[in-house]
Amino acid sequence: MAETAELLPGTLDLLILKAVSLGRLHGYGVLLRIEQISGGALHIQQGALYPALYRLEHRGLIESEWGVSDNNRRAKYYRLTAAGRERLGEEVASWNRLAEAIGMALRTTPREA
Amino acid sequence: MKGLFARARSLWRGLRRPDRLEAEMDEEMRFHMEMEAERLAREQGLEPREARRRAAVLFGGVDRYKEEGRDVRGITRLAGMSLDFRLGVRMLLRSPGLTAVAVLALSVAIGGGAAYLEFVNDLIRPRLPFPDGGRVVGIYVRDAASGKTEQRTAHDFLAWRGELESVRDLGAFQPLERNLITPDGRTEPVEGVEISASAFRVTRVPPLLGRPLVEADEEPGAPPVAVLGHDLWRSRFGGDPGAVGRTVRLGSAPVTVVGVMPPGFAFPVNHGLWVPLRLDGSALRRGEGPAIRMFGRLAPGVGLGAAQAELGAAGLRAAAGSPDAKNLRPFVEPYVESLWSSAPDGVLQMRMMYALNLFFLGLLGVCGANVATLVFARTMTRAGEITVRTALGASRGRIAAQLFAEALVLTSVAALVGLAAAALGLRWVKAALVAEGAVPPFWWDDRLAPETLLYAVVLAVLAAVVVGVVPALRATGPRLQAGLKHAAAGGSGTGFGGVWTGVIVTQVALTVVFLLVVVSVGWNVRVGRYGAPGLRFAAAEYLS
Repeated sequence: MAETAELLPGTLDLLILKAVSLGRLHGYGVLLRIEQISGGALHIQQGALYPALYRLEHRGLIESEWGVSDNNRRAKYYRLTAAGRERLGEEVASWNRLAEAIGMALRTTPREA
Repeated sequence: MKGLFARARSLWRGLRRPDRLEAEMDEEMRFHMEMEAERLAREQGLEPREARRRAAVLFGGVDRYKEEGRDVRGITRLAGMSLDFRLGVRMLLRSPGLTAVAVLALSVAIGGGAAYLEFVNDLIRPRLPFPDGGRVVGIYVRDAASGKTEQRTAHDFLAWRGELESVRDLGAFQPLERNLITPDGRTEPVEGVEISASAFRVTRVPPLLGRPLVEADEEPGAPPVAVLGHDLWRSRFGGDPGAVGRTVRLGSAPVTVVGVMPPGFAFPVNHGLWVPLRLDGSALRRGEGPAIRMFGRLAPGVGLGAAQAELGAAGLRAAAGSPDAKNLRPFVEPYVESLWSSAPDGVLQMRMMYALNLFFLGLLGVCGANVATLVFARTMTRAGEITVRTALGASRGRIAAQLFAEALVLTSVAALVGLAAAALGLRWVKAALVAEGAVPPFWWDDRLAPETLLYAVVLAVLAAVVVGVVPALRATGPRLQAGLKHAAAGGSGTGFGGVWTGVIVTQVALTVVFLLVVVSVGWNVRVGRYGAPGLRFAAAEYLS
């Protein structure tokens, strides 16, 4: 297994939005999906997921409704809203730009500096 | 903006049923940990109890996350605010003398500002006491070249009466001051109008007795009739129902009374006698005929903009049709405003009256700054408290919020006192005017308009910002180090330096300006140049 990486502050929101964009999920499902789509490389304190979910819901980027889980238990499901979808796109683009810029800076060899 | 709405809604939901929020968060987190426990049991072959323990450890502190969950919705901040308010009230009650002075000062500023706005609005943009009164409009014609109002518009009036679709029941009036001679021989002047019968349809006020004027009365050969106002009926006819049908003399002409209007009706301004306006359309050319004013009602669903567009087009058509009208431009405005706009210098006077509000805002700023000094001077140790709190980690915003809450309590009380004083004061002023023999316009009432109340709320919040937030920001700013040293040494300084110098200079400047303005206005009123707040509130002021 690859080495796990600590999550940079602010990126948890982005991952949650992405996870939820792939389909409606309850909180635990979001955790599983993030683990899955990141190849298990990201380490998230499980409980910290919930304030992040509530914050995103408070801002209207995701919406929730109570439903029944696969094993017939009551669970709260989250879904991306239109505003959330828009924000996800913006954040992904912004992240990519940042990653590219930093990556380029870090690849500089002593000769080029 | 949309995000703000979503947040407000979420906050509201969180506040309304906090217990339900708790229960839901509990249930959600419990579900999570159960699922994780099951997974651990499955994948790592743990005992159920061990799996649950491990899951709980992996999850982290439930209470902490629930608290964060509440924070994130803004609930903790709001709950904190209510505590701040209670603390604020307690602090104010602890020093009643200072609180009284502060409230008094602020209530003068807030009450004064609100009273002035109410006064000006009552003069210029009042609420008309008719059904759907907001749709009653006035039309006037201005000469674009000279900027003066042209009142001899009978020719166009008659044309537009049939043409206009956006303004219905177009009517016109012309003041009439005659002596009314009743059968008992009494002769006294009366404030009357020659007016179109449509006035009674525009105002939608049914008569108390008899009938209002009708179109037939406007015909050239029709018998002369008149409708009486309530006050006139009581004073000159003794409130006798038999007055209807009686013949009296208006000047030299006999007229028959056909109706009496209910109390409070004095359209167009403060008139008490209505006779039909007879215009002989065929004989009148533009620029001829009596000096009239036009009014009407906007058609349903039509806005002022659309009416102005139609009227403007009609004006252009008229201009194209005859060379002597090429500069005339018609305007349609809310009824009372049109009376002001069409008066000479009316627009300027309106602007000045509204601009004077700025003076009251300045007064508020100065009062607020003074009160802030008082509030801080009383609790000099406050600066020490603030610096210590800041050192302990309270954010600037948090401290400012607390001080703002305290200040808001103060200014809210001041606003209530100020509004009460304003309402009483205005009532007294109006009563004084009436006692001097002035007849107020029909739309004056003693209630405070909702706009005024809202304005007072805004002023209270602004004052709270000046009294609470500005000093807080100063106290928690870069002078923190010096403040901390001060606090440690057991003393404290006000440390406001430049800001207060500025305040004092502004105060002196404002006082000087205030004196100049008062002297100038007072002189002008004496010399009789301003009509509006003068003693004779007669229609003449509006219709000059």
